[in-house]
Amino acid sequence: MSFQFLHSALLWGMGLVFLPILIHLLRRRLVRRYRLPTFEFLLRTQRRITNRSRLRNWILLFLRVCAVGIIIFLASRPLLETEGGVAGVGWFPEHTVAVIDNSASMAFETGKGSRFDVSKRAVRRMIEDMSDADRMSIAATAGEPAAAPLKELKREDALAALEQVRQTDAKGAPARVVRHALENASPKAGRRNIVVFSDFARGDWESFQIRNLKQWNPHVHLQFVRVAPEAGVEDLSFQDVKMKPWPPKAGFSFTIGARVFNRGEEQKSKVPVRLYVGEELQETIEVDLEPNGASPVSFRVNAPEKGVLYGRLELPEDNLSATNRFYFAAGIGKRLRALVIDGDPKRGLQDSETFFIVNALSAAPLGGESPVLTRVVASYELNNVPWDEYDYVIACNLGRWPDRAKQGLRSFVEKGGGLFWATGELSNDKAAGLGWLPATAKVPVTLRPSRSLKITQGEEAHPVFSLLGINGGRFFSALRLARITPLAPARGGRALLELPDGAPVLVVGSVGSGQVMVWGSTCDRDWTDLAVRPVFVPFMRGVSDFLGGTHKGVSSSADAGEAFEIRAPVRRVGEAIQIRGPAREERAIQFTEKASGSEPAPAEGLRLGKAGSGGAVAYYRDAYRAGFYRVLTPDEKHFVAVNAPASEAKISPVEMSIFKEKLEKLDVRDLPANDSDPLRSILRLIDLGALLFLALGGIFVAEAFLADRT
Amino acid sequence: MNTDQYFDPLVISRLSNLQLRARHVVEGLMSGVHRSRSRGFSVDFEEHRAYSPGDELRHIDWKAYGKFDRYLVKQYEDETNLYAHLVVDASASMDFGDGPLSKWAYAATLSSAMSHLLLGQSDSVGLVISHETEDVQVPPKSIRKHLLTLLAGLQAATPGGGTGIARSMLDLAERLKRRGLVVIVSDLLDDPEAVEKALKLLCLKGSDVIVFHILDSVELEFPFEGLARMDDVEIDRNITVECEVVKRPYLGLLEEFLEQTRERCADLGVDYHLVSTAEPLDRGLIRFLAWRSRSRV
Repeated sequence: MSFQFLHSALLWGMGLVFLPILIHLLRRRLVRRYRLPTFEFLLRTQRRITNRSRLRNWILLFLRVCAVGIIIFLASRPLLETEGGVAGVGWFPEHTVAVIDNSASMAFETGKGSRFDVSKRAVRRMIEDMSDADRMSIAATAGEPAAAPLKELKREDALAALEQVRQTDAKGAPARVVRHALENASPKAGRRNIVVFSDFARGDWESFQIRNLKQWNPHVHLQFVRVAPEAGVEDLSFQDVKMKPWPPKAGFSFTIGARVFNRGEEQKSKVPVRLYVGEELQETIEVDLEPNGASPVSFRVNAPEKGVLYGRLELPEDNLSATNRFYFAAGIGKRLRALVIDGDPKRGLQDSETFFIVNALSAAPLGGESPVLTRVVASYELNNVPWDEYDYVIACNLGRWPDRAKQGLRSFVEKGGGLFWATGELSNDKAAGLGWLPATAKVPVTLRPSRSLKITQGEEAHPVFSLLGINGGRFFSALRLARITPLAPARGGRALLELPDGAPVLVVGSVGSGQVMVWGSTCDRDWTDLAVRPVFVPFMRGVSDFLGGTHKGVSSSADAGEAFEIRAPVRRVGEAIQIRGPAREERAIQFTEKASGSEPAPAEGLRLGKAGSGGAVAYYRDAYRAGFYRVLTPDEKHFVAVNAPASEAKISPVEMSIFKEKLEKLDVRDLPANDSDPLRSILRLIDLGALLFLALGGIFVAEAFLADRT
Repeated sequence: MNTDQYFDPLVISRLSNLQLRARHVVEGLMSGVHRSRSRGFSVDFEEHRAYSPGDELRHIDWKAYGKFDRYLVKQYEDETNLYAHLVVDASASMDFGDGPLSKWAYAATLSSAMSHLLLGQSDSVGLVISHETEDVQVPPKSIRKHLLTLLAGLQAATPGGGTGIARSMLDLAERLKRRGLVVIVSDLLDDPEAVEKALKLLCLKGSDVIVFHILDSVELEFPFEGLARMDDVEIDRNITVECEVVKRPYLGLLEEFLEQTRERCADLGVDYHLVSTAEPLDRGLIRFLAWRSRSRV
């Protein structure tokens, strides 16, 4: 039991208790002299009353000293600290905010449930101990919206709210929650308490800082309860998990490396580290671990040819299971399929545009594979083309071609397919029936002398040029164009490349959901030397990525507590998909349109993860437990691997001395896991104001009575 | 002049001469009253005085008229109706006063005025100025010139020393050979038993005793406040008192003392009058005259 003072500086005024004594002494010095003939009567009077009067005077002096002391004590707002919860004593209603740390580290087992369970038991007891006038708010350090209003709940509602608080594998944000509680604790309540239950694990609390709080309210009692510190920090965990290359390439092997950390004080030998791919155990490595030591492990895994790769690293069960598994998942990269249409197939192979285009698209690193699969067809074969099997089409010098194919191509583009339309002697948009292109082509003209190209101002960052690096325009300035088909942008088309005089040579535009590019020259050596220039390969790969989408492998992983993003073509806006969490709980989320950005939406299917923008997007914000989150669609199978943040493995508590530097008004008490009455660990602050007022009133009455008696 | 001013201690205090004070008081008392004196016939010529309206014509000395050409009335040393002794306390306690007149000045003025009145009625007036161990005595005479002797005695006296009023009364009682009037003017701050004993003896001697108990308003009201050091006026001693604390019991004790004194006087048939120095002087004199008229009857 001890005292706290809200305005402790006023206690300096305690020196004023000597004021009555000083006045008494001064009065004695200021005694006046009188002569009195009836002295004898005075003498007899004095003899009679001396003892009683002296006693009364001493009592009066004592009462006045007490009165001054109590007034100063009262002004400094004394609060009596006692154990036994925060419930009020009935004079003033109390508003208590119970902040429960539900971050991953709180899942640490204590023998009486997890630290989180112990916290909830204590909060439950606090709620049961509330008076009818008291109010309680429940806040959790992980999983709460940043600025959720504090609901002041009655007993039954508070119990219900407490049940809603769940253990997560996420990182906590104690500073944010405590700050929010401090700033929003009910100003109507007579007393406000904020009780924070936590393990004070370094992961969350090392960065704790609320010193710069806008308004520190001295009427709010902030206390911290360290939950089950006696349970220790014995734990095995993964650290620094690295996978290379990641995401893996289809059919290639990749490496998973990690460090296994032993936070216990005992040496551990032959600790099995298991690797699961899918649900199958692939490999087990045994490691010896020194106390507070780490040991590296490494696995090599073959990625499948297609689909999704998912698996986990696993350590034996211990007190904190959230740090014993590491989940991983990735979508294996899909190869783009391009249809190259040769409009003039009678020419020799090396004179054909398709020769240069196919070679450019098929370029692959040594020992690797090209990300694009190409098929070359002649214009007369177009009637039987299954358009939907391709991601984009490259049409070269297409003159006459079947009308049915024209309809098919337009439909393909409007549904999201890409089209690269290269002009030539035969090509004419009117003849080809392509009046829907973003540019109109005129009669070809010869340029004498030949000209170079430049990137249209403002279009340097277009994805088509993304593989050219910084200052990609220098590659085009070295080109020579001897003949072109003059283009006029139409229907929203805009120039990406142009002659030095500004005449457009490459125009891009949207048709339906698809992207179309019109090239005002040829892709062979007849009109330009582009096809034999080094820029041709990265340029065509840029065109390919832009029109077909980057179907690279995608890492599908997130930290628990973070929202992850699922992207899809824009046509899926409004569509709902089901997500199944690790506890088999299912939740639907809906695609919404996302503003276009630097990266295009996927042409087909879904893309998981957080990167990218554009197209349709759906956010899943409920991934608070580690494990796999599956996207449930009839034709697709996607996984997102969610892990406890790496920082949550740092479960040793912060040094209280460091903590005190961060929080001046620190008050930390321990709550043992096996404490049958957890309220003993929570301080009750009794406002002594009313009691002191009563005492002061009593003193004044007694003083008046005694003074009157004199 | 407003008649009240004749008796106002403040006005009287401005008159330095005791004779003037006495005359002032008596004139004030008699103003508006028929001035004929109740002087008796006498055989021994004493003096002439100027005729004043109201004097009987038969008392005019026609020979003197022929000689001095103005009306003179013969005065004779009349037979004394009454032997009066004024016992005035001149202890140090009487030299105290918060108002314009100290107790001593008040007592002397009152005694002078009474002497004036008594002598004016041809009564013999003697004076005892009481000190701690011995008294100043002026034997009683009834001639008017005796007033000057009495006043001179009062004026010459200086209050001081302890109280000897009981002793003075006892001495007087022993000396008294005739019945008469004894007027005690004192604060009676003496041993009450001794005072009672002396009064009893005076009464036994057949004297009528009037006690003018003179106290200052400060003594009667104790108007002090705060912490005060009180000095005894007669003995070198003092005490420090919380005035608010002692006031009530002090006044209680004083009241008890006054009540006892009053009762003892009543038991002895002594005419007792408590007089505050803040009171106008006529009150005491009226009481005295009232007694005087009763005694004539």
